[in-house]
Amino acid sequence: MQKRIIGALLLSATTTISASPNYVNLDVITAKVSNTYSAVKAHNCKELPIITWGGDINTIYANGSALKTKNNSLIGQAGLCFELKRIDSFPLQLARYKSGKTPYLRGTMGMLALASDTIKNPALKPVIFHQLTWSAGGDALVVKSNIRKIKQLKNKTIALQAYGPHVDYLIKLLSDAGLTLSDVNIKWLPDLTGTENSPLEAMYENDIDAAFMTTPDALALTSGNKVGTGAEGSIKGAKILISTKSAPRIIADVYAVRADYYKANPIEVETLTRVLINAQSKVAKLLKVKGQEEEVLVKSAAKYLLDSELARDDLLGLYADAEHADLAQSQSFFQNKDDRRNAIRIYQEAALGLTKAGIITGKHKPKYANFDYSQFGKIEHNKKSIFDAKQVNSVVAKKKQQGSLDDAELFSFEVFFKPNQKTFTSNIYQTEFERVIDLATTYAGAVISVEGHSDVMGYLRRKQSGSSPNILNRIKQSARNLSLNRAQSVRDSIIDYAQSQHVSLDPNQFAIGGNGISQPKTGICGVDPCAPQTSEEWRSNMRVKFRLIQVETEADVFIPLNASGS
Amino acid sequence: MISKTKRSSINLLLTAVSAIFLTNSVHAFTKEIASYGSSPLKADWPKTLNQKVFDSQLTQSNYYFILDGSGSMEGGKCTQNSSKMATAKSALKQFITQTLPTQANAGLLAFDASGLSERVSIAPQQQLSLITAIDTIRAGSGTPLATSISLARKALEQQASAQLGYGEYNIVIITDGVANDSSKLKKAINKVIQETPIGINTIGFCLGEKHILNRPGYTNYTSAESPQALSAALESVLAEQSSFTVTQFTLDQQ
Repeated sequence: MQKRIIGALLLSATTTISASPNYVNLDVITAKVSNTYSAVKAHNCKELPIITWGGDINTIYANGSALKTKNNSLIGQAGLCFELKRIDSFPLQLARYKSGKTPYLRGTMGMLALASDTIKNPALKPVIFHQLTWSAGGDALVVKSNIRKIKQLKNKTIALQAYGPHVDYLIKLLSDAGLTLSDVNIKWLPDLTGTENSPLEAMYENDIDAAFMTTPDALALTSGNKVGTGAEGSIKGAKILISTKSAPRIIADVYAVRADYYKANPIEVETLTRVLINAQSKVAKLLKVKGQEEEVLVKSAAKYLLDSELARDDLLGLYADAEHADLAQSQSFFQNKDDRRNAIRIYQEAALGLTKAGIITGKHKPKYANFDYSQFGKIEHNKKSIFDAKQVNSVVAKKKQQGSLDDAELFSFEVFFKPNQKTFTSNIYQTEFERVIDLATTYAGAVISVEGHSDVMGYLRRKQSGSSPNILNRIKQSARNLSLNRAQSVRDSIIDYAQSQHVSLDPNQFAIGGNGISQPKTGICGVDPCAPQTSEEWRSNMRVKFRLIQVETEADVFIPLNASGS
Repeated sequence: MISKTKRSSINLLLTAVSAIFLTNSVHAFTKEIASYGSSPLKADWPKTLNQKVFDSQLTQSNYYFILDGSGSMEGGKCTQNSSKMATAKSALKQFITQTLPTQANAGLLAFDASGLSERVSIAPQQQLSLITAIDTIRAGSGTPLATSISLARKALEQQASAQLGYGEYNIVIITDGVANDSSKLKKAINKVIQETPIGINTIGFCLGEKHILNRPGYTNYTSAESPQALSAALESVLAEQSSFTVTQFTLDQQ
């Protein structure tokens, strides 16, 4: 990772004095993709595209750490043969796909949604058949100092790569903040990283407020995920608002295949899927122990993906920035209707956002392969918590006490309740509970703070009637405990409700807190909460606030990878 | 211009007068101070937050006992057949075994013939340890109440850090006399009252109402003139806690 940062620094240092980036128009890119379709060329070894991403390391391994399938590789042993070809430009991939040079497409769900209108022939529609990864730290939204919350992106200008992996990301973030693509100005760039026409370079322009980029570029602009100092290529005041470490269920990297080819070659596609899932499992084990096989893989993958077999650290960083889909994840992604982050939902989110913005028609529905995953091996769901529950509570409580919790807040909303309300059932709060489930599953690397607040009237009445400080002390502390109990009840109700919907939430992801009467909605009058003047005001204090908290730099809240989750 | 010698004499006189004043008058302490409880927006206690208990234990109640083992506790005045020390120990043990909730956290500090020290650190289900520790206390020391209260506050603050400040916190002092560090006592008590939600509960054993820790409105003071009254006073500490129980959501309409 360090080398990649240095690389980015050098790049920015040499390009800050260069001309403005060349922005592009999505229509122009689409127009460049020929609408002439050809049958898939007959080759013993089909072309299989790969891109510069951690998930593609598994593909290289499956191929025998070589571009052309080795006989003793997983793919070779399965009787298949492929020529891996790195094509980071999705439009270029589309062109080769349509022209029959390859039946395969390698992209994200958002890229496929974006491309849907450009593939008009139903026989050539992509069939999405394999998930490689979730981005889990490799992609970041960097903002300048005028933005500290996602909702503040409204009317701002954002730079991102056209047909790149960040379209899904932008659409989902905006949607969760109550915004759409139409609420922001987008400047599309042809490249993702490493050139003068990348989001990193665009951020040096005064008219760009935010940009989506790879994490190494984001680290360079923000002085290593702090706040940019303005030195060494960073931008003063720039910070990572959120990366996919917080939101590891937005960007899904997948393979798709032409419908006509899949129809003619279902065994090949299914076998490739099985082999790639197997490779994922083997690479995960291989990279934990150094040895000859590991060295061969790392060197070759670094050469094919990063153009230098010496780029070991960068390659391992690339691998670590993704969550690699195993058999259980693959099955859930494609076949579990209850999975809130399954393929259908991810695609729909992207397609809906693009349709609303008038970028695609939204008429074209994707197709999915439907394998019997139980034939691939034993499906084991080993969901371990990534959070240390006590540290999660402690870190959020500290931030609250220090007054810095607001800075880490990504989204928030409140639910209200009645006096003496003891239960918080889904009958009353289903909409809010659904929203929490959506946030918890999408932003599985962020913490959801559940904060209870109490009515201030009991305290104020006692104070007005001259109760002693001793009594007031007890009421205040009881209110604090009461509000914590409410937060706990709400959290437990949400987890129970999610369970009833066949969604397993991680209790450790929730930080519970009780503010008692210290943060009244009715305002502050001197040293006391203001007394409510209306019934509505009175009830406004009795609430539970949900906040999505970014904790990417709080190492303590995460259970180390080599430790067992609880 | 007052000479250095003269100033020193005045200071000595003032100190002596203050000591008498502090000893004999409760009014000196009843002056209004800004207590933690009177500042509803204040939520900065404890200063360090490091959760070490399960979520279900965050609102646990905490009792930290201070048992006076000064020389005067060996005397039998006001008790029926045994010394004040024996009576206090008996009542405290009875309270611990029969009344104190088993799930409550409890700790014990004592000053006696073997000095001032924490005898049982604060933790849940400490009943057996507390009984054993109480049995070993032997009267025979001064009355370092200020230091004891400071140590109790620190022990409770440490526990509060583990509970993220939630829960109930109480110091329960059983004493028969006047502190021999009374000049520091006011500061120690003020610190608790102003900076923490810790309740100070004093049971003046065979002492009457005039005790340095009797600060109406700020501390709970009970005068126990008999072993029965001592038991009742101990139980009242708990009774007051349960009247503000958080197991039911009753506060909103108080």
